Amino acid sequence: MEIAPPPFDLGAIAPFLIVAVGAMIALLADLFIPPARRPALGYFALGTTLVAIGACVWLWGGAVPRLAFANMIAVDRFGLFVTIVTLIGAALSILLSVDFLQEQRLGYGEYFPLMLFTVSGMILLAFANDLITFFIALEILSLGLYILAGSARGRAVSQESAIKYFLLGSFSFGFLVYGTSLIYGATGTTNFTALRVALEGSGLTDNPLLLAGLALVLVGFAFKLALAPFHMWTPDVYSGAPTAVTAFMSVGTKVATFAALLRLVTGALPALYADWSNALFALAIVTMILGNLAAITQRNIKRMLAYSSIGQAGYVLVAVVASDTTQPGVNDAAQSSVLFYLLAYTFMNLGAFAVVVALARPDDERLDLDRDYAGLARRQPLLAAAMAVFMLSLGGIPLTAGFMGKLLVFRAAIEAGYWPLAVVGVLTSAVALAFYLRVVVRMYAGESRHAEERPARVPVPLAVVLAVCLVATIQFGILPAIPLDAARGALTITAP
Amino acid sequence: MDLVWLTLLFPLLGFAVNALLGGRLPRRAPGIVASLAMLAAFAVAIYVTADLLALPHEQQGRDVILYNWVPVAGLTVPLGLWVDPLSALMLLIVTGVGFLIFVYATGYMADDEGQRRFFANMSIFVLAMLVLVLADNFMLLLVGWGGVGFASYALIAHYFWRPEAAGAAVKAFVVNTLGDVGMMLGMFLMFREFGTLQYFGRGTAPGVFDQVAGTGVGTLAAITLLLLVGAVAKSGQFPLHVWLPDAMAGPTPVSALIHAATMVTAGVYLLARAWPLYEAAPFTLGVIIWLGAITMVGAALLGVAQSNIKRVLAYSTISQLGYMFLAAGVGAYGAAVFHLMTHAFFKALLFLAAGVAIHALHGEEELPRMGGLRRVVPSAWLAFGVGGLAIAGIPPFSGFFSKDEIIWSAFFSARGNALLGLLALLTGGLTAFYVFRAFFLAFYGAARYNLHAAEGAAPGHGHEPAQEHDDQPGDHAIHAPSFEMKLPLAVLGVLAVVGGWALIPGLTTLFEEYLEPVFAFPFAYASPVGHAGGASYWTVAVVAALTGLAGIGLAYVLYVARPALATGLATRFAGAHRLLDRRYYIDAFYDLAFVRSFRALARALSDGFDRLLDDLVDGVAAIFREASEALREVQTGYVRNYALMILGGTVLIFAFVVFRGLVQ
Repeated sequence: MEIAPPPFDLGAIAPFLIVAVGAMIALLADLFIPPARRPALGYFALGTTLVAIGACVWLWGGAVPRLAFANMIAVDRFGLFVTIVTLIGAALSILLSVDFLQEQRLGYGEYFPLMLFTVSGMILLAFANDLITFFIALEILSLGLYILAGSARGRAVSQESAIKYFLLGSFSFGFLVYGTSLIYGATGTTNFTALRVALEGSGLTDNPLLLAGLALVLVGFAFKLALAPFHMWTPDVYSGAPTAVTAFMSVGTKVATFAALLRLVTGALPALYADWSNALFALAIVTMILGNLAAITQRNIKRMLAYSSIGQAGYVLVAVVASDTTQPGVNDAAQSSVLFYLLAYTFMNLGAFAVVVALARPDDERLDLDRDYAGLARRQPLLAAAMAVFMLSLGGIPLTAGFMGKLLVFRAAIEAGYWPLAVVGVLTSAVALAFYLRVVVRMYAGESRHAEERPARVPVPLAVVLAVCLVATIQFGILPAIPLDAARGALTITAP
Repeated sequence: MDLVWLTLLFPLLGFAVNALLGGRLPRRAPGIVASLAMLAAFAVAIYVTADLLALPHEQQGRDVILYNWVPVAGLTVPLGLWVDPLSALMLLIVTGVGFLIFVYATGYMADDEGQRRFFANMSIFVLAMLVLVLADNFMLLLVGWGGVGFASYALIAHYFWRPEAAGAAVKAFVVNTLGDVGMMLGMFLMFREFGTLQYFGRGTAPGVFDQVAGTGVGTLAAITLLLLVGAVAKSGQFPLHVWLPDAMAGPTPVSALIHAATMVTAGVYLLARAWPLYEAAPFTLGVIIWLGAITMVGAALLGVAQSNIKRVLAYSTISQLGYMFLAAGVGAYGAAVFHLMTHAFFKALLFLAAGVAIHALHGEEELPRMGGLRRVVPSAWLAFGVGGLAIAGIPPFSGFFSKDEIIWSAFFSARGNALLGLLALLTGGLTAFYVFRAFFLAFYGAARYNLHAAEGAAPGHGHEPAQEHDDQPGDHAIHAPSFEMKLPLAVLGVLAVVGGWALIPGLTTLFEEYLEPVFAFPFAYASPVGHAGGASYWTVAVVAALTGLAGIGLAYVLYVARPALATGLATRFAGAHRLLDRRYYIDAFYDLAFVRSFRALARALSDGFDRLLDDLVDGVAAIFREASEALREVQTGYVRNYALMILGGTVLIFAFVVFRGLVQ
């Protein structure tokens, strides 16, 4: 039997290639540069992500959508949009890390290469058009994150978080792989495009094997997205990992995985809409309630942000549920709101983590809300003001990106007829204000415990991150048209 | 004419400089900055008006659109300024008289610690007032309308540490807000009915006034009555007049500018501006006529019994505004606007003259504690005398011409009748009497003031309590008015004399021609003063002048020649005197009906309902906190437990996907 190798369309995967090659170069370069010069690796990684963004922009205007590598990769504007968001998150996370690593003495050489490998996994995830590609991308991404979570080798909590993440990740991905095999058994394919064709008008939609496969694949997604009740690892891992890593994985992972979820369910399984939307509906409600409720009593800012990110994922999921491809208008509104929310979330969440990073001291990460955030406004008014903006945005207060995101999501849900999701969303948003505003109140009304200490200088890279996030958070809240138009232009999932 | 927006910019700059930099400027700078800004605005106003008058009559109405303010689907409201002779006249009065009063205030407020706040608020007032008169649509009008209400509130409360000033400010704001709500409802109705809030059409889109014909009488009556609520509240007409006398608790320049010359005339301006609406609503016109007439007579009677010189003037303002409402009601819009203008001159003059007297006596405002000031502050004597003759309608002073137009219209215009005419005539006599009563009490007879006692005791003059102890010993002398206080008196005095000469029937028709583009419409009786003149006019004029002279003569007899007679009369008619002294018990009635009853209701709500809500909210918060605590218990930290949860979640998803699929 002669096997014809598929054509090598390297241009289609340019962003992935750039980041992956960059990671390897960085890994090699690390051998030759002295430890004191390691920040240079960070700037190299930053450059790599920027070049990759450039490649995305080039592809955006080029021949998209197109399928490549035997239909295992789908290069379309949807994937490119998500990739750009992921890369922005990565670039900001790298800037966040440069000084943080030095200060916390975490300057191990593999940090930035690992980050780039992880990013390459995220990019592949955004373009994956096959359950196999999807699984490989997820593994690339996850393996990098496991190691990064444990990169504070001297700290037990970091080690613990890495092990927990790894064990539970493996456990969940077991379900995912099993689900993939069931789907293959039922339909004879793992390719998204082929799946859609196979399911259209066939009697397969009631096939228990297929449905069981779908359920198990959703488990994998739910774990990676930290949807309740698959979220238990999140607070432990988020608080144990070094803050810069937490910041990185809280945005990039979610963005890429949501993209993959949306591509799978609307691109490959629209015929099963009733089934997956039903399950995701339940998950969304549980996630919004549990995430926001549990955050109320947290005293540690990183744990609070971990639960907050769980709640935020619940809101995005609301829009995924509303993505009914049989109603094009509703579907467009829902998917564009997913993209907008992910973009807004990237900036506001990274901004909040940037403030946490800015406050960290070598001996003390300064994570206690009552002790370390009280009276911050008097010591460091600019940082406190920035944090207040990010908290208000995460809480969904008007004139911020978070408000626009929630507005779009809830509107999409109502248009699709899922008003209970919107009701729960609005109510839990109100509950969420309890813990978001508590940070603001502590900062502006509390008594400072570190009053005698000189406030730390915010390094330039970190200041850049804060400024970018702040501008984006406010700008998207006041003038949402620019990102929203881009998101609306990015709704072509998978070429036929 | 396109530069008209500069008139808004300069007061805004005056405000911004005082509010933002005022603290770093020298002590007297706020007044100078604000006055210069007003002068600049006045210069622009003259330029704009000259520009306007250079156009042929039929083109004297320009919409200057600055930008599109509200671009919502179905409602487009531009930030547009309407320049026509009516708004240009208001523009000139506000900036011109305003400038004079600002200059006066730099002297009057020279010792005041709150100068910066004062001039910032005054500038904001002028800005809001100009927005009000220049707006080309009802929505922008409402912005100015609310803005002047706020500025008035802030300035009445200038001496905010005095309970009566703070209370008066709140009273003014509440009553004005009542009017604002009425206006807003009227606007809503207008929008529903006409689909626009523009006064006049632009291009193909018709404005409100273009669509009056063909609209139901009932709808128009509702719209005009709701707008009237706003006008009545702003112009202190019965029954919403109660705030204006109390507003005298503000500094005297505020009383002169806001509560006499400009803001309170906004209601009259609205009637004149929206005359096409009112002319199509006969019922509302009847209401306006009688509200105006009642206010005119009632306030004049109250003016007789006041002992506070500023309150005398306040009631006279209410009464004169009643004249203007009456004029508008009978269709003599031009006469209303004419009287608005002359009133701005002579009433500002009267207030400023009274202010000089008050200033001289360190804040004394009570007539029984004045007396003999003619020799002490002759400038005030002269100014008050000129203003008094003008308001009393004695020829050739300005009030004679403008008031006679109204009296004539009340008698002879299509909606006028003999009763209205006689009331207007009678009120003219009353006006002359009470103004000259105040004049004689303040400037003639023996000096009854005690400068040591007056110190800080009387309301209305600005010394911060802490500052009074710093007064030099020599300060227990009369405060002579400074140059910047005398100059406005002189200018306004001249205007109060000659202002009426713009329209002398049979002699000059300047004002009539000026207003022709605004009111020259197919209503014959609405043309401002067109048919005045002839025998009937001069008969009325002579009788009115004689009535005014009789009022002055009576005041002279009672308060200069034979003072004993006045006290005798007051005791003889004690009942009537008490009725006037208690202001017909209207204030007491409002206090009982609204203030006390609402306070009781509010207390009941806060004690009962509010506490319930409070507990409810606290309870909900506690539930969430408990739930959150419970969730923390689940978070054990053991991987095995987490894995179990994942398994549980898997079962959940299975239940939703697979079993649901099987059941179907």
